[in-house]
Order: sequence, then structure tokens, then C-alpha cells
Amino acid sequence: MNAIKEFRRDTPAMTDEAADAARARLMTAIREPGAAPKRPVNRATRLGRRVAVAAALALVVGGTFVALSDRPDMAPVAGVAELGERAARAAENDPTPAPAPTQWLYTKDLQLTGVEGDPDRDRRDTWERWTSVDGKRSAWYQDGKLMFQGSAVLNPAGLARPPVTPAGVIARIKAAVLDEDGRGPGELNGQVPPETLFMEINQLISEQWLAPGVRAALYRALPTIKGITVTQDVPVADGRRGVAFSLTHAEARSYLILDPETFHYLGTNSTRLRDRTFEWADGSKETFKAGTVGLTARLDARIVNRPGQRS
Amino acid sequence: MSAELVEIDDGELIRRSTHDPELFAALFDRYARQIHLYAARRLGTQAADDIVAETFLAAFRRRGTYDTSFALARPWLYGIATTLIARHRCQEERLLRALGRTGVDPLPEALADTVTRRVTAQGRDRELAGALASLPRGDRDVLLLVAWEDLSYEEVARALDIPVGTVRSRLHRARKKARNVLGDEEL
Repeated sequence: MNAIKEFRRDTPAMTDEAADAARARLMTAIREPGAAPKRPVNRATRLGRRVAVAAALALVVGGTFVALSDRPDMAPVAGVAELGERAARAAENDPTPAPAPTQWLYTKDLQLTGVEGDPDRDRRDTWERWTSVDGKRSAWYQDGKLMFQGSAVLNPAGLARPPVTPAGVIARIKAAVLDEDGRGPGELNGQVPPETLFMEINQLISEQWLAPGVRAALYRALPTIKGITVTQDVPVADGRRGVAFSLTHAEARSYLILDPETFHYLGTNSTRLRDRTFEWADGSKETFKAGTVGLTARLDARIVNRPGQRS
Repeated sequence: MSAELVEIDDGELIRRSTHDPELFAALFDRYARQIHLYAARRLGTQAADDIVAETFLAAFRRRGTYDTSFALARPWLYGIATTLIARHRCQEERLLRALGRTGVDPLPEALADTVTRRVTAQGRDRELAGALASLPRGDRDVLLLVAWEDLSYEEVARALDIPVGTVRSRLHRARKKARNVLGDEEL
């Protein structure tokens, strides 16, 4: 038995950060029975949970869209390819200097969830998050304490490896998703559905600092994904409206919304179209009803030196 | 942990946590790091971070089903963790096969990016990795709970909810297989 006893004996012990995060999740469950602990999702469970939450908070907007009616000076984008191109050029022309790899992206979003027609009936809160520029860690405050965990399924440096092309970034994202699926749920059968691809890109654009060329390639890639169209005048959580990449599938209708003038990221809007119950890895279940609406709005985004800093 | 809690066995702690749920946190303080090491040895530290958190969440939710006549909750917790690890079976086997093939352990690393673990394994570890990868999952669970975590046969039976006889036969099979690849070394 000695050979087995020695095998991987030098495995590192649990870090204090990981222990604190796990204990905090337990304490949340203890103190708020029934509450889904709000947290970014760890690598191993990330795919499944993200699919669910993004689908659950599927962006949406029932109703008619008036093409940028309150902005007569702006020519609306004619199609999704034009939206991709204009957003890509805005990303490429962004004069902001590149941050140091040791810095962090701070983001603050307003989140609304509720039912169609009454999106803020149920819940309205702000969500602050720090993501390291290298994509390896993210942090958030929970019960006044800064929590850390590993981050991106997709390594931003990997996406930035030349050549960076729209087809290339899609291929890299698909490979990462399939790799993740193979380690966990194994439910994709080698195919990455458009909604998953959309969600992954959505997540990268909204949560991760990306080199301008990578961000531009992602925007140019979106119109190439089957089913993605452009929708005008879609509201985000704080009432602003923008032009959106949109995707409707059996489960949900989702929008990734950009400012119609600057083409910077504004937020998301989604609606579930079908009831669905998800079982999380801990055995708990959560049902999202058809008609559940989720909106977000980007309130702040800036580069800071340390997690926990806001300016 | 208060001095009083130190005196209380796990079964009593779980029983009292029915009315005072926060007591359950003491169980985390007693066992989280052991469970983490076990999961990390099988799947790497990142996956282990999740497995530990989910083990205690699941245990907390299921605490009403715990037979509080058992003073030690350790086997119960290892059982929950092993079930969660089973969801990563393909990854575990892939990692072991890669180690067997290349001699470099690809076990996902801690966030600190330490590379010290990625040392080239001795030939014996490579062979052992290959053998572990080829074991049926149930056999591997039993072998590792006994060899790494020092659980008794009865504790393994309770952890995995299988008869003690099955623990013995699985362990026998697993040892035999390991012995075949490692030669006549004491197992």
C-alpha cells in the first residue's frame, strides 16, 4: 500500500481563501435557508450553472422596437454584420492604455429580475466584481469580506495568441467549452449550440478585460453565429436603451446590448420562454419560470490596482 | 470553536444543529481541509475548492437524515465528497492516464501557479497512475479511501453505502491490479 499512500502526497493544502469562500457559502445556506448563494461560479461547475443562469435571465423584451426613434441624428445599424463591424472598430479605436497584467477590472452592474412587464417587482440589486486582467482570478464581497476564486474557463492570453480572427476566437471558445463539458456534465456531444457560444462571448465581453484585437474579433464573430440578429432600442436595467445582438431559441430570448453611439457595452436583457428546473451540483434545485425576465446595466467599469478597490 | 463544542462529538453536533443550524459550521472547521486534500489529490486543487463547498452544503441540507448515533461524521462527509468526485470521473481518469503516459502530472494547479508538483514522476508513479485510471470507479473509491484517508472497512461501507463484503472484494481486486503493475511490492 505504500506506493499508493505516497502517490501525490505533496498535493498542496486548501488555501485560506478557498476555505473562507467555502465556509461563507455554507454560512449563507445556514443563515438564509432557501436563498441561492449569490456568487460567481467556479471553474468546475461553471459551465452548467452559467448556462442556466444566463438562460434563466434571458434577456428580452416583449414588444415592438422603435428604431432609435429618440435619436434622430443617429443612423440605425442596418444589420447584425454592421453592428459587429461598428462595435469591432470602436473596440480597436479605444484609446485606453492596456493595463498591467497584475491589475484588475472592477465592474459594477445593476441587476433586475422579475416577471415580464414588471421586471423589478422581485429583486433589484447591484453586483460588484473584480476580475484580474490575466483572467485567472475573480473577487467579490460577501458579508463584508472579499472572496476569491479562480476565474475564466477561457484564458484571455490564449484568445490573444496570434492570429486573432473571428473564426479563430470562435474555434478557441468552442474547444474550451467542449473541454469543460468533457470534464463535467458531458451533455454536449461534441456540439456547441449557438446559445452557449453567445453566452460565452457575452460573458467575456461583460466581465473580462480583453485586448482590443480580441474584443474586436469577438464582435465580428457574433454575426457569424447562427440565429444572431440585431434588435434596436432594447432597454437595460437602468432604463437606458441600446442596440443589441439578439438570439432567440427554445428556452430563452437574449440580448447583448451596446450603446448606439459609442458601441460600448451597456448591459443584458433576457426572458425565459419555457419553464426549466436546474439541479445544481450540490443537489439543490431551482426552477426558472417562463416569463422570468432578467436585466442588467453596466454602471461602472475601470481598471484598479487591487481587488476591492473602486477607483 | 468554543471550548464546549470541542467536547461534542459530530453526531451530537449534527443533532443540535437541527435547532441551532450555525453549530453545523463546526463540522466544516473539523473536516474541510481533510476533504479538500482528498479531492485535490484526485482532481486538483481548483476542482477540490468546489467539491469541499458543495460537500458541506449538501451535508447541511441532508443533516436530518444523519444517524446521530454515529459519533464521527467523517465517513459520511467522505461519502458525499466521493459522490461529487464521481461527476468528474472522466477528468480524473484522463489526468491519471496523462501522468502514466508522460510522467508529468497534469493535475490542475493551485492558483499560486506553483509548478513544483509538475515534477517528472518516478516510473513507479507512472505505472500506478495507469493502473488507477483503469480501475472501475467503485474500486478506485474504496482503494483511495483506505490508502489515503485511513478509513476502516466499516467506515468505507458507510461512506459509500455498500456492504462491508463489497468493500473487501473491491479492495482485493484493486490491490491485485496495482500489484500486477508494480510487481511484488508490498501492497
